[in-house]
Amino acid sequence: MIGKKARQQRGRVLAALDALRTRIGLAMGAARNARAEAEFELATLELERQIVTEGCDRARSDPSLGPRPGDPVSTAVWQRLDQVRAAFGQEWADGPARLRSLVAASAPGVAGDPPGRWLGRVGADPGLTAPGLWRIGTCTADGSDAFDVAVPLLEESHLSITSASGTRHAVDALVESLLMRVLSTFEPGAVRVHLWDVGQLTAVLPNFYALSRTSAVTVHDPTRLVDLLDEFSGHIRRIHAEALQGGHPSLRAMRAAAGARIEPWRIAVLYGNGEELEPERRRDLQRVASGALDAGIALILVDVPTALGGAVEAVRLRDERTAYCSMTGADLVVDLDPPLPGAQVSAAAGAIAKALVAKQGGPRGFSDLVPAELGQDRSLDELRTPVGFDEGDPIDVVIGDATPHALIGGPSGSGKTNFLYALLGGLAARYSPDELALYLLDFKEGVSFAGLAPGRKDESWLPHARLIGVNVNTDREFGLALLRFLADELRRRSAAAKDHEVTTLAELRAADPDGSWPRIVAVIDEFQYMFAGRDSVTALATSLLEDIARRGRSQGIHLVLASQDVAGIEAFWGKPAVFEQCTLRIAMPKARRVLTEANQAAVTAPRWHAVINHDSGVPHGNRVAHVPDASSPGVFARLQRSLWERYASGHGSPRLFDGAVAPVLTESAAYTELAAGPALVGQPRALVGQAIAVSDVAFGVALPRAPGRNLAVLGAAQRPALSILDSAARSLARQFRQGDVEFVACCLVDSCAPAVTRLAEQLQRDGHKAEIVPGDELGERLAAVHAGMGEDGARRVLLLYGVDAALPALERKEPGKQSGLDVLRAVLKQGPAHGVHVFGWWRSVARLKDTLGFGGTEDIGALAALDVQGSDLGSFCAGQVVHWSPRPGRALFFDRATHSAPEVMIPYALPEEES
Amino acid sequence: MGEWSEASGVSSDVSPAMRYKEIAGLARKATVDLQAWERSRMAELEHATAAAREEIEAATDREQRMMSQAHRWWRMALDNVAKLSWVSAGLEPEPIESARASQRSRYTEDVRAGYQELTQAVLDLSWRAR
Repeated sequence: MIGKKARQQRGRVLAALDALRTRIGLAMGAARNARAEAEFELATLELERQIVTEGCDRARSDPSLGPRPGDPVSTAVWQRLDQVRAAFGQEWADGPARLRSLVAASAPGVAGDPPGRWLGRVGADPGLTAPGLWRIGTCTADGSDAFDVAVPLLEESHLSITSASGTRHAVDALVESLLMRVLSTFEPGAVRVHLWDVGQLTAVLPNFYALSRTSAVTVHDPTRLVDLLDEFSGHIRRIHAEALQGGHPSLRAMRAAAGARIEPWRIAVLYGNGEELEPERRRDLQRVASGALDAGIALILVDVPTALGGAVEAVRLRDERTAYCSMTGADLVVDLDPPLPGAQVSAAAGAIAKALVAKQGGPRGFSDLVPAELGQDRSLDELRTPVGFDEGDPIDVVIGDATPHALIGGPSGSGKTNFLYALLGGLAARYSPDELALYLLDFKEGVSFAGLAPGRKDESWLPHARLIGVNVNTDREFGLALLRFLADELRRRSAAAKDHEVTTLAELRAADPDGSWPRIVAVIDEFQYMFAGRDSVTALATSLLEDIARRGRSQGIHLVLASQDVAGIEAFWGKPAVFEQCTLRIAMPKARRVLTEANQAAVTAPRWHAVINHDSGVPHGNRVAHVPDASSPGVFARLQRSLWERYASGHGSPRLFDGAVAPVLTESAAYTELAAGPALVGQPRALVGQAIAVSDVAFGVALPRAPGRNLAVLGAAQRPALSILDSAARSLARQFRQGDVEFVACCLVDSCAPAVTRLAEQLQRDGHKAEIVPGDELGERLAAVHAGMGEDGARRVLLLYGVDAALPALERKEPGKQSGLDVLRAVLKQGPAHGVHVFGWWRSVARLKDTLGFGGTEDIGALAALDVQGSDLGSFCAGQVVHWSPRPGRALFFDRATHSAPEVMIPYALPEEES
Repeated sequence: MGEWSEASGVSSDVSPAMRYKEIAGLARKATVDLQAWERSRMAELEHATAAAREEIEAATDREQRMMSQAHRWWRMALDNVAKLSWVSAGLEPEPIESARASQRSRYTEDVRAGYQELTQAVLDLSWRAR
């Protein structure tokens, strides 16, 4: 037996051995584990290397590399990679949510909603602004949540779509969906879509067929891309010019300022075939693209590989359902929205088309040109009125700074007069007579403006009209008179502007608020008549017209010149200034030369339409408008009546000058103003006829007691001769008290006897002494008058009708006595100084010369020439070359005391003609 | 900008399209950054794998040496107790699973110390105890 101590010693040995065994086991285990760990590390590194080489995204879906739950190597590697990815994707983590809310805000409603919510409904947005984005599909990035994919369009960006093989249906679906969203967003008429397909004549997007019958969708000829691009560049230039004129950088700014859409949105979808366009078209397209967005025009190019300037987003199809999009980047695949159901698109297109037609309301009428409330506009800066409609949208004519004068052209029957009525109606309805004054002249043999003056049937008149001239085709002088009047008014306004130290009408009106400074619009229909001859009228009219055209703009004096053919006006050859100032051009269908040579819009314009061009006729300025019927009976009259009831009390009736109607003496202002009796101041005047002038002015012969104050009427025409002597006698009689004047009439033309008798009776009724001397007693009577001259100081007027017939008798000379002719000569020579005046009618110039003898022409101070030649009159007109040939109902009047040159006169109607 | 952008709360000079691209760009940025990391990681991994292979070789070598050393230690320990009839050698030491590779040198030190403890315990035996 061993003792306790020995047992303990043995125990220590056994324990040490056990401990050593364990420690050796641990050391061995540690070495083994170290090797195992190294092997694990290598395995993870190798797996990671494979994954990284493959790309994490792809490797994840690779069965040999993707995560394998339960496999520690795989688990360890993917855990590490996921951490790395999470670190990189931290910024993007809320990206999908942010994109979803951005699309919801920027592509609201139809622009972004699923089609079930809107397809088939007609939009109501007036289109002042457009959504910034339009949805096309969805996308997922790196396994994150899906987000909406949307592209900008309209004023933001163009869109370029590239198809892949066999994806034409998908492209069509994408385009159709985008267009349908746009068309369903805005109210009908706010969007115009133009489709062009290089490979197809008609069946481009067939579901839009219903819309292609309206202005909303236009399918263009595959061979005529140039026309579409021309049309668009025209729109761009016109819209750009209009915006700049209004001081706006773009249509968007103009819309914001005006609070109106102004122009429709336009989208052109061009389907190419993947080949580059021919160089010229490519340049055109690039030009259009660069300016289009600012004009509210967007392009969608399908397989047109032209690089466009400006903002372009791209969609490149991968297959039928997916695409790459420049909005999301080349590495994200977009799942395109499924195509809209074809039948529903057709139905929706039909609904929009129907709404559009309903909105346009069929043909517009004249009443649509008239505002709800009359006379609300001010003409400070310009005159503006719609004159017609383009697909229901009003088309304005602006007469103002940029377009001070208008030139209207169109052959007979093309609707020129109707257009003028639409224009005048629109203007008169918008501006009160204090804002707008009209001077209307029609050289046609018609009475187109006559209805605007008070007439027998209708007492109303157009209160804006100050002057209406009709049937003036033979009275070119009337046109001249109007131009003279306008030139005078121009000077008056210039002087007033100078006084107030201002330059424009608007400033003048501000500086002189109490003054009457309406804008003046002078309309001259068939104005080419004014320049029909090569004479002083043409020369003067040309220079006056040039002057007014040049300077009228700043003084608010505007010309509206209408003509059948402006090219034929010889007076303007080599003088383009007048036409150049007419920057507003209006071409009726088939009008020639009103627009520029290259502008053929008028050729194709349909009936009842007009091409309205504010850019001197260059093609891009064209607006084709349907002009409603303004000239049928009663149409304009209704508006005129309302305007008359509103304004007539404050504005007198216009002066009506009707070249076909002889004026009536007793109605003329000159006659009614003649003062009688003691009120007579100055000299008595014998009125002989009406002047061709803007105001109602008469020609008269002043009859002071001075040599030469006799009147000769020359020519065989009986009626005007009687008229002139009649009006001269009656007007003169009006100025004298009873007994202060004595009339002695002698009629040597039998057919005139009744008229002379009637005149004498009239004068007697008025209380004057008037006797008729038989022809055979004329010599004696002349001798008596001659003998009595200066004795009683009384005024005597000898009215001699057909003096030439008395000459044979008067020439007889008895021995020791003066012949009757000598006495007549003495009366002509000495009578006027004694208050004895001869108003004689000679039926030929030669007989007058015979009467007067050598050197007696100065005794005829005033003459009225009828059917005689001007060349015969020189000696009676202070030796001037006289341009005159007989004109029915007109006379040439010359008073050497007051006239520098003879002037055309209209004899008054004979009393029996007065009605 | 019109009402649409106001509704989205985007500043007036940035269009929704630009804003969209900016946000969508973050996804692209994450992808691009990851791809760049992958490329650089590939090079890193080339080196790391090579190093890991060497490490395995070294570890295998160390393991083998440790095995033979352990065997020697155990033989020496058995020699020490061979003359002691009351000592049963028992089982050979086996690698212990739970041993930590990182503690390898400490374990080696512990073996050395354990051997000395054993030899000392044998030396400390009285003649009676032997």
